[in-house]
Amino acid sequence: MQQLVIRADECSQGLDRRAPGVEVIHGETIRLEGAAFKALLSRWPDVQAKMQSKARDLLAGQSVKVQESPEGAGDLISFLVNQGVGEATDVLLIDETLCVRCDHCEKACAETHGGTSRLDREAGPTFAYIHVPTSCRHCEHPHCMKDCPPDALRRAPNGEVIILDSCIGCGNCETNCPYGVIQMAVKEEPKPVNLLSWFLFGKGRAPGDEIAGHHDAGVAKIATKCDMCKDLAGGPACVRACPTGAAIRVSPEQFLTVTRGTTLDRS
Amino acid sequence: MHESFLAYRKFFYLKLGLGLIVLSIGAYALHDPPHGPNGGTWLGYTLGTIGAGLILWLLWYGVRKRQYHSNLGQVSGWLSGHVYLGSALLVVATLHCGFKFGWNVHTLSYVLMIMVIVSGAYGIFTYVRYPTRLTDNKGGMAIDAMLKEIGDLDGQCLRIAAEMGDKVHQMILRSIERTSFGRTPWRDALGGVGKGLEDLAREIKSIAGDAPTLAPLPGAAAPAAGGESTVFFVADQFASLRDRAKAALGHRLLDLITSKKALVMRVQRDLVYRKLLNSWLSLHLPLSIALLAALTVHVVTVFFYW
Repeated sequence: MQQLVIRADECSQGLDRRAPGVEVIHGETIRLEGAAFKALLSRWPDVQAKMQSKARDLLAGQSVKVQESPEGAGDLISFLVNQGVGEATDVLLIDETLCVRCDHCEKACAETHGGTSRLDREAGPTFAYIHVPTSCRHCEHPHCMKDCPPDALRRAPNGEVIILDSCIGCGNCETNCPYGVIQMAVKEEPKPVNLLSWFLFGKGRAPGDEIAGHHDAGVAKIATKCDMCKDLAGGPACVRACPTGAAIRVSPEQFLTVTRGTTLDRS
Repeated sequence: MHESFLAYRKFFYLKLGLGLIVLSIGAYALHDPPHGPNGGTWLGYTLGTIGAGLILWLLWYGVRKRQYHSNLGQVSGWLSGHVYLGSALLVVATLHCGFKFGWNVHTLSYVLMIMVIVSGAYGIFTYVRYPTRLTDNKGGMAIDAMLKEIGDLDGQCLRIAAEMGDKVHQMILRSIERTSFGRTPWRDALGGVGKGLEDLAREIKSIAGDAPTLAPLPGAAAPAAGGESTVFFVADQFASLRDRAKAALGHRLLDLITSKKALVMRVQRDLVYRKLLNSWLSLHLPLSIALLAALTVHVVTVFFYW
């Protein structure tokens, strides 16, 4: 959308410029004739002025970001894009210089989601100490939605891709997800945790323990995936539970901020 | 974007801890009780109350980090406060007692508190040091993938060893059996692999004993202690063998064993780093519980029996 505004502004000003572009997600190109577009805009001067102002702001913002981007940031961005972060609307990134491998993120996820963690911290690639764990990216064009018989995969008002209770457990979404972030799990409420009893006597379920039978074959299962903790006040449990600040959730617009804070020191 | 627990909210808790220290020292310097500074003065009681409250709050961190539904701040903020206010406790508690120590339960509380803080400081050291090493050691390869690769290498070694005779085959089998992860100390496991290499080198010498060109090639170093030197030495010996086919097999076998050894070392290092990241807690936690018990006795004793 930003590129569209900037290009449209250049077009309206009669500028002849060329700019390379890389498609990181499935997209479409719309070709508008310059003269026709200019004539169209001239009918609404206030829209034209607004577009020029927006284009100036966007260009200024991009210029600052590029100047502040450290050497090597491009490699990290390429890595993130290759991991599907480009088509994500929100992704979990773990800074491995801070991560103490305590797995509290997974435990928090399991504890707040019926005893099944929707992320696998250890799995997933790492580049420049930025680890992309196996966790839903909430894609802009979700692959998981392609072939869902009961149409149980929906996008929530805030952008999260969620699975409704109408899931029949066919596993199509699990197969279609290229990032392996959907898993089939038993639908069962875990027993409540008694922290004191567990700590003093080792009795009962430990906080964050996954429910038994999760991996058993032959048990009826439904699809589960990260829902961005949409029903929890305070935001994603995995991020809130991280004791060292290693886990964050970011949107694509925040990549340059991530790379600015990491690549200079580590690559 | 990522913010370390040590730098949480622009070092908010560090500033808070330093403020507490400065205030405590300032009050202690200005305070001049008739019988000298001790825990029984108004400042002693004040600092003692602050210290006891801090200890309870610091202990509550263990509960908070397991309350995954809680919205009471981020756990990284709690840990930041745990670190800096826990360190400040060192000064607060010392000034609380006015440097009066003895062989009693009060000093026991103090000593336990020092031990808890020192073990926690070591924990911070491990949290800063080992996460990066863990990633560097893995080199982008998952541990599961490493274990699978080791299994594959073992299979290839056995296939080649079967062509080289029973003795070599037995040694490779022994080497595989000795390779263990986690059950025995990692040095033993690595020693097992290294020992297997040396045995293998000896065996190869005995197999090729009647070869007239077995003497070291010009420039070839004698085998020194350590697996790598042995590998190079044996490789040179192979180059001189008349039986080129057997030499090629031997070269291949040594390459595989060297690769396996490198992988085994990486897996073992991974286990060691993970252990180091957690092992300090097995001291920090029991000491904290002991501190709570001693503190309770200290407070009850002071208020009811003194």
